[in-house]
Amino acid sequence: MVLFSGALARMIDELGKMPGVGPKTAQRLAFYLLRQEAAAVERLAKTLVEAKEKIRYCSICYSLCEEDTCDVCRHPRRDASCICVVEEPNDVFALERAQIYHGHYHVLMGTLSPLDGIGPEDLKIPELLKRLENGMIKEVVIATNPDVEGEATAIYLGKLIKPLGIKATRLASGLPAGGNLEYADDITISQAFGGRREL
Amino acid sequence: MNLIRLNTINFRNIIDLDIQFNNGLNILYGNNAQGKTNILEAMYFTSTAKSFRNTHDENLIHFSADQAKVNALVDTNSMQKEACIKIFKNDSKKIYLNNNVINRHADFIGHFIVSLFCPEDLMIIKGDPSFRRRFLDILFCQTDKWYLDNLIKYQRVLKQRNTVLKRIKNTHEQTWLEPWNDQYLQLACTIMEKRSRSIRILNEMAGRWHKRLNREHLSIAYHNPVYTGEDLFAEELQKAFQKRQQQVLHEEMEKGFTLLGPHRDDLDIYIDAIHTRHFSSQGQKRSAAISLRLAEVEYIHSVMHEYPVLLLDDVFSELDAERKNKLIAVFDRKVQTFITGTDLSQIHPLSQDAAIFKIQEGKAVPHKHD
Ligand SMILES: Nc1ncnc2c1ncn2[C@@H]1O[C@H](COP(=O)(O)OP(=O)(O)O)[C@@H](O)[C@H]1O
Ligand SMILES: [Mg+2]
Ligand SMILES: [Zn+2]
Repeated sequence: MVLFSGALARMIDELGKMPGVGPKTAQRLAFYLLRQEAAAVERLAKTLVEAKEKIRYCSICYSLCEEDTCDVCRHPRRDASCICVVEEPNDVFALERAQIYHGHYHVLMGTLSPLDGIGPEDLKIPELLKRLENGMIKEVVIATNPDVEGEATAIYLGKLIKPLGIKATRLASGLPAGGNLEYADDITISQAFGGRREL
Repeated sequence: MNLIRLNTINFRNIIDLDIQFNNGLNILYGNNAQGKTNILEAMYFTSTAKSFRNTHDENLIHFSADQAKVNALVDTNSMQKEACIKIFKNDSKKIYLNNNVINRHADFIGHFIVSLFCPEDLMIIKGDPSFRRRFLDILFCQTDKWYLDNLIKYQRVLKQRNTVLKRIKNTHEQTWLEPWNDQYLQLACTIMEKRSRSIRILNEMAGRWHKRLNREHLSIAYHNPVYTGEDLFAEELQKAFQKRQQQVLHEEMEKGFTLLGPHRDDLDIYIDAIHTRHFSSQGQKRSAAISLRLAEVEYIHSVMHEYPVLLLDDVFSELDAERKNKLIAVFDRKVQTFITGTDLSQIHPLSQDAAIFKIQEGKAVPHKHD
């Protein structure tokens, strides 16, 4: 039996670390890359390094951007009185695709999960509370996923936000049970927004 | 529901099997350790994507193979469906329904339902409460997606809540519990309500079957500290549960786990007002288990408007002739049934037009009627 070794083994190993990529897929990707011309592989490598260098988290909402702040935070005509709280940066893109929401965002970078040792201080919750201090925010829409961790996070935030005199709403669960924003279609997202309820 | 065809590769000792079945009675006979139960296990697997034997999935793969496949063509509500599951050595599996990948196990449950009667059913009567909860949960999850969804969520909330309880053991800092308590309460009550309602239906069904087969009075009752017999409306139930929960909270924080809720439920089973678990004879326990399974079949029919496929593994060897005949007469023709046994002469007279297969070393040979 000939086993992978040296550069090939390292390549397969690195590719296999990515989510959704098992050993078989990692091998397929590796052999695909090796068949490509050197220039194409270089272009890919450069793109990856460049993206990693340029892309960072928005210093206000923690969405992804290439400047200090993101397009949404800098946009003059977006509704600055409303913040939509999501779990991950890709949720922002899912909501933007649906084109129903015109306020600002706040990315938590996860959910409460004692099992994984994640408490409020491990999320961007202090940063959210700071944003609520300026007196301009009238509504916080909590768009965490409808699983138990997303729900617990929403309940926790609701209890923090309501005493501040700010309306806290939760997306209607038109979302499929156990379904994530990321995979929901645009119509479902619009319906969930339309039917959001007060916490 | 009907199992039209089963195609199995490298599942246990069944290396390659492809059979079409009779809509009525199917008999699988053969010596011990030839693969009869393994075939029923494969059928059960295409229904639940789990084995009924308490085992890891990878043990289902033939010793000398690294992958197994079960494929079932089934007929439910006059629609044909194809369920296929591949099992891999690292204990993972891939589920397909009509060639579409099913990502969440929960989305697979309930498409095709079987009822298994087996000697281990005795544990429902004499085992610890977890056996009875399992009996109820498998039944309710297959017939009620809402219940399944709530149960999965409840188990997750319970794990999270227990982690918090362990962490606040010394501080008793309750703010960490709050985000989990609302869901815990809501989910627990939803599950308890469903169990209470459905157990009452099962009680009537099981009682009727038991009377018919044994002329004794069988009854089953929901055993839960918040439910004390009479029916509670959702709001009352939540109030009662919350009150009890508050009373045990201190103890929960001391012990570091959740003391109250459907994860600790039980089912009380009585024959002629005597608690079967501790006081009934082995024979009575066996017949009580059969009555519960018959109630399960009737319950499935009442909800799904279709009978499940019956898998009777070795149950006939333990019954006397009268009970055997009564049992088979119960569902004859209306329900597709698979019966296993070692002695064909014991089973065959039960039905003239059964399809008969001799099982030998993992192979099924159709048997010609003489
Ligand atoms: N993973 C496996 N690979 C190969 N053979 C297996 C596997 N698991 C169980 N067996 C074999 O299956 C046989 C038991 O089959 P079973 O269906 O329980 O018998 P019975 O016909 O008595 O119901 C035993 O001979 C056992 O060695
Ligand atoms: Mg057997
Ligand atoms: Zn931003």
